[in-house]
Amino acid sequence: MLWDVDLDLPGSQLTAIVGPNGAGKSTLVRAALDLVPRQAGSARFWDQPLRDVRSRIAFVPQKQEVDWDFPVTVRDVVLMGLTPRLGLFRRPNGEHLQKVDEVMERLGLQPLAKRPISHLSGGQQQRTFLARAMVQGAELLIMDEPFAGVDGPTEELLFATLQSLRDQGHSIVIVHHDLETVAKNFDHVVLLKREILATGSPSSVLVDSNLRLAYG
Amino acid sequence: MVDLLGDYTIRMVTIGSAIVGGLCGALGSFAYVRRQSLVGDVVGHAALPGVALAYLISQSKDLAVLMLGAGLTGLLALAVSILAVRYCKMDQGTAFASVLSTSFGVGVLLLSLIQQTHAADQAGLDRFLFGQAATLVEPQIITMAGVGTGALALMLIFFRPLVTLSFDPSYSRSTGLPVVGLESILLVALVSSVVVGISVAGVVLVAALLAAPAAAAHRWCTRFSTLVAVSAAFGALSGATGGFLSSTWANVPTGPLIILILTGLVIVSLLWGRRRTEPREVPS
Repeated sequence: MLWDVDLDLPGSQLTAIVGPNGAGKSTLVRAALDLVPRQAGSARFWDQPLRDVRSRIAFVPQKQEVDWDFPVTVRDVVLMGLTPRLGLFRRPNGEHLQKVDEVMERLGLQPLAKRPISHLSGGQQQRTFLARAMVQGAELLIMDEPFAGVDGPTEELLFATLQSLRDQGHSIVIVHHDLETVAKNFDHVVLLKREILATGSPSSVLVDSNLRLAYG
Repeated sequence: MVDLLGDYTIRMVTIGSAIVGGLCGALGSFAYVRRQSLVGDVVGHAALPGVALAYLISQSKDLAVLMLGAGLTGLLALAVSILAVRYCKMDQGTAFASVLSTSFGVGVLLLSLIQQTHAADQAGLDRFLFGQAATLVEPQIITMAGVGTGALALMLIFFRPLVTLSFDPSYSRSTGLPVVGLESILLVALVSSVVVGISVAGVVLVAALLAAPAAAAHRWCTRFSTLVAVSAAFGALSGATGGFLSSTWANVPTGPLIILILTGLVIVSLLWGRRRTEPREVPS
């Protein structure tokens, strides 16, 4: 449950949505993407309604939303990122597959390409999900808790990848739970607890008075 | 064996059971990976009142007519269960169990009604309870093969988006895939395979034809496309073997025999399948 959310996020920045458990962080991004019903309000992307710009947005759901015992390989999952380009009937061509290989190389997934996803560590699972989103070639990346259950080296690799995507002009919005890594890695923060408590640069948002409101 | 297959009844039962097994094995893979194997049970049980109603209305025992009735009540039961879960916040297991037993009860009532009023004529209908393939004739096999081909074609045409949807519904919706349309296509294909299945396995046992081959195949496969193929092969093989044995060796009903063979396959796969459930130690 969320109310009175009036939020305008900057482009080409790495934005964190933080707040205590149950604050509605996931609900906010899911409502914006029409994945859960909204009582009221609307979300616009680049001043356009969602249905006109779906292909420019890539969503990375929470890891536990899928069945990791599903019989697919890492490469199969990454290939699913082609879905918006292929629609229902087209088959991937050489150019598409090249993009898939590039992204997998960049995230160090090539050696795992044929591995069933049931045999992945938490970090490998998140890299697979990020690769699927990157294959879409979307300008806006929305990720729900991508750092949950991730080891240190993977976290660094994910942040480095996201920051270089931002430097190429992508916008990235991340539902995040770890306040400690916010200041160092993000450009913009939204502090949420059922409503927006504060939004702005990490140094202006993560001050004691705000944090007491959210977590106190 | 060649001689025996020359026998019309044996040939029909073997071919019919192989078609049913293969079809249910293929479509059942989707139900299995979506953890919806109970869907087969609901549609199966709900097919019984459909068979009875179709007979009451048309006064015909034409398999195509009975299958149409079975398919319609199967879809209706599924729709009711899904709506009960979505809008009455009923737990899925509860919804499935209630709809399943209610529709089966209605079916049994209708059958006994038919038995009292159309005594001489109804002899063929109770074979839909536990399945008896011995009475299959060629036109029926052609009907079953036709419906089965339709269901398989739907599955193959939409294979890639259906796999994406089954693996990750949230992601699929976020990419703008027509999720409701794809779900409906999959349900129609599943219901069709159940409806084909009941003429051999009966409404009570058909669920196992959907669940067992995929459960066995999962132990041998790491990719979904292979799982579908292996599951279909397991189903067809068990169907053909069960059909052949039931029509040559003693007078046993076909459905239960196929199910027992499938259960054997599942046990063998669980014990010796190469895919282990615990994660391997892997470098990250």
